[in-house]
Amino acid sequence: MTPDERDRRLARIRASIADRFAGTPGSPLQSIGMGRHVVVVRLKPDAVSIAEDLLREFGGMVEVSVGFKDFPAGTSHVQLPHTLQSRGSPAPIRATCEIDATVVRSGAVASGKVAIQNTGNSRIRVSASASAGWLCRPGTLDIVGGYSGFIADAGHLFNIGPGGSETLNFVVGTASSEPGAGYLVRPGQYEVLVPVELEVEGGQGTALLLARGCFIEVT
Amino acid sequence: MKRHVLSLPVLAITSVITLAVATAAAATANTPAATAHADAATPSPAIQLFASKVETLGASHYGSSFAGARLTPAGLTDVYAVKASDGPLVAAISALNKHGYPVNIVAVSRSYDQLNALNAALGRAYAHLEKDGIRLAESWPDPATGSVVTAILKPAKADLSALATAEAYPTNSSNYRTRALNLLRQEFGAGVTMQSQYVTRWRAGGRNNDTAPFYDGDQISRSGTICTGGFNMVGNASGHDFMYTAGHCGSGTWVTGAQTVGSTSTNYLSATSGNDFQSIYLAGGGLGVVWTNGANLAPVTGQLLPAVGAEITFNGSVTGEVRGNVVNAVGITVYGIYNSVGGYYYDATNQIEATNPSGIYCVRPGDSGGPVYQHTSGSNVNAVGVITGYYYAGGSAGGSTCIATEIGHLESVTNTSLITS
Repeated sequence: MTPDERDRRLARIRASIADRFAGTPGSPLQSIGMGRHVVVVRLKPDAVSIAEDLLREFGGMVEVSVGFKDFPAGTSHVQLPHTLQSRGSPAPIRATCEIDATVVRSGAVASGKVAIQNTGNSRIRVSASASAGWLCRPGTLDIVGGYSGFIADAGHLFNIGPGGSETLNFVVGTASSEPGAGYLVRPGQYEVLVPVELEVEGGQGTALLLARGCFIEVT
Repeated sequence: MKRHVLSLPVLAITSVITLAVATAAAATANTPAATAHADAATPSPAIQLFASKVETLGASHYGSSFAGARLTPAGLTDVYAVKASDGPLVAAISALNKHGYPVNIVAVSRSYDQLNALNAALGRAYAHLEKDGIRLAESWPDPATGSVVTAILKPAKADLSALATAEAYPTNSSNYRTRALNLLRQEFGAGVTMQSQYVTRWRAGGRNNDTAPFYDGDQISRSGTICTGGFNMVGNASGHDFMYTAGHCGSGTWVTGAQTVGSTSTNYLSATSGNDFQSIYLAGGGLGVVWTNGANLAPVTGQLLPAVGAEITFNGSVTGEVRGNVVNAVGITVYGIYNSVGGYYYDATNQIEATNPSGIYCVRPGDSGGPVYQHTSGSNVNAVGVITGYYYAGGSAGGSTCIATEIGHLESVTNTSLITS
């Protein structure tokens, strides 16, 4: 096969895969693009059977990942944290978590809000970001999974008076991040921890807080 | 350092043609408005407002004839126009002039549009002029003289040498100004003049408080939302300059820490478009020069679609410049991107994905819209795209696998061209 023929074939494969899921509600595709002599396909964490089908049909012409992990190897294609750690406490700020659903199906995602409250006596200007949470074993900082899709986020600048609060949206998923534990987290009860980065104006420095207080059951 | 200024503190009126606006002829001597403020140090607020309205009217509707307006301390509004007898312009000013304020129409050689185009061209040439030994501090249209005035920095030894090379003519501190103006006029024509004194550079503190004309990669915000300006582009049809940033940042009026950038002209992101970008109209112009970090800059000299395996640089205003990100794939369609600004999901086409092999975050919140480029073997960069988002895989907000919209796709959809140095 000449390089041109290979490129044309890859383009056809890409179009074929994209077309079969186009307009499908809850499409299993997270992304599809052209890698080095392969079509790169990222699937949602519950799309193992589709990954098997694609490999069977296209073989080495596709490179497939499912959730956080390569398929079928099951090793992570990105560097994932195993535990969470807060850092610094520059100001009287408390971050708490509120989640929209307390029960989610394995493979699904949930959304929620982080409330950032000024617990001090003076007004503060703070830039803050928090876009995704991690599933942890309840009461620990040990990560078992999270959201494996792409995120687009802006920075947020808040001016919060004493006792006041502002909120940020976040998403949490059920893709497994644990080595050797499959592509989805096991059903069970988890705590959602949301890392919140903060920088308070006025030289009080930066901090990474962990918003806690959300629990979720994966079924 | 690079401002467009439309009114100058000193103007030399070359030829007063006529008091062409009918209401102005009677008003010059004894109208209440004129007499009431004849002895005042500044004209009344009402006259100032009128003069501003004339400027706005002329610039927005008669740019090919109108050149500028200037209010004298005595309360006389001088209107500079290429054609002093431009009937529609005179009629429009008359319609504005309900109180009979005094107006002079003054014939000049270049219009507002011509002066702005010349000034923008000078701005775009900033980087290569610097290489030729001319360090521009400011330039601005002077409607009264029909020229764009430049102000330059006192030359260092290296500048004398560079200019001598560029001109192929011996240059020293005595003839530097003459030689510099000569080179400017060779490139931009006789419409360029030069201030008689050297100036010190305006200090933009960095990418957080840039002023017009804007560099690529400014930190911009609107209503508490922080994003990054991507590459500046020029409209192929309109000739207007636009800054591009991510569509998911939302629409509105954008500011730097120093001044207003402009308002969203078109936000191309919708539920079905796949285009995560928006254009911001730059009345003050944009440059093809990108912040690399802090206060450092690099000329943008071209654009490319990177090969898989190539290294590219992400440069959002929160994270700063992160080099060495290896391209995983191109031409990607990404489905269901989570936008935490609005809490919704959307798709984006024509994306480039790259991963930092050391696990360094290439994008954090607030970097959206920022420039992605590839360094050349010299000190220039080639534009690659504008930042969309990241693959969340860390212990804090941000990621080391990042995506950006291809610059060629952006050009194609928006009918614009990258501004280069």
